[in-house]
Amino acid sequence: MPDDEEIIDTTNRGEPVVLTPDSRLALIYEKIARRLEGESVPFTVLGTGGFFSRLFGQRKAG
Amino acid sequence: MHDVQAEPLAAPPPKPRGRAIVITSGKGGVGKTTTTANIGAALARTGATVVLVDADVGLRNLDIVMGLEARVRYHVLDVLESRATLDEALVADKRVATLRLLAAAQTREKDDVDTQAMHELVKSLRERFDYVLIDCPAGIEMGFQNAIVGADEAIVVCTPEVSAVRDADRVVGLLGNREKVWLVVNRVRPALVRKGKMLSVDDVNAILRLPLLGVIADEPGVIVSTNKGEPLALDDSSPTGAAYRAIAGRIAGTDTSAPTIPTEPTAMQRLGAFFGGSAR
Repeated sequence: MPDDEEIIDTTNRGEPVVLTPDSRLALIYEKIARRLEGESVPFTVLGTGGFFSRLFGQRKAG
Repeated sequence: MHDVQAEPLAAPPPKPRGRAIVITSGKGGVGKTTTTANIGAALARTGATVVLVDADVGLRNLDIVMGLEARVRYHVLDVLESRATLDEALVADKRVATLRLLAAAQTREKDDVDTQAMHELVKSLRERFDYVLIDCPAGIEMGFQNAIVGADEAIVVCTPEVSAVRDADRVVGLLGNREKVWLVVNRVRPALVRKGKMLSVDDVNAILRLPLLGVIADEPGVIVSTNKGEPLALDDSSPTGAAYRAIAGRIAGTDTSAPTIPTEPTAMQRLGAFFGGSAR
């Protein structure tokens, strides 16, 4: 799991991030749940984005 | 940084007892150990004699954060159970001549610690050191009780999270009547506070109502220094290090300024960090 401000926000609001539509963190938790169910699911590669996306704060992970 | 030759802390002339301060939080993972290491290093840098006691028996970490893991020969239970003398168990810091570490046992459990023996140990450390800083384990069970037993002051570390505030509030209640109970708010992200996605320092302290000792930003430098075993408090170029040194000054009573809340780095500072290569 990446250290992401979405976790801080949703935790403080009492809303599990996994229920947030289109959240990349929700996707990662869903994969964890599927692995617990015995499914073989590839791991998400956590990128740090390119130099300029870091510079301007548009962190993207795929 | 060069290796400072460890000086034996010779028996000093009778002096006032040192201060025993426990660093606690209730919740785990909020930065107690990092806070202990940095405040200890900052206090010792001013020439005060400081011993850091890792009371997290079974899950020792303070030695790693201090970069002293290779020097640990004996631990706190060896002293409590008379397998080693205090002098044998105290580990000299590599950088600051007046700083010592007493490591926790790794292969024992928290309930193995005799509370009365721990109290006596802290008492004897207070005869020898100006400051005894005790790194408390998470939780409020036996390990917590053993960590707080000899301390008459406490620093409560809290992150701006609702769950951390609730646990800290519980701990403040359990600490009862101490000479002083302070608050350090750790891992503040100013940008998130501004967006209303993170509790502000005022929000946290509206619940806890403690004298504010300092505010530490959530910045990568803390993680890097923790992994390297080099407390940021010893890094003169680090703003977070300066924040820790200010905390030490407030504890010692030499700094009467109010804690500052970290601000977001400006675009220019961020550019500088990229091109200057400094870990910020």
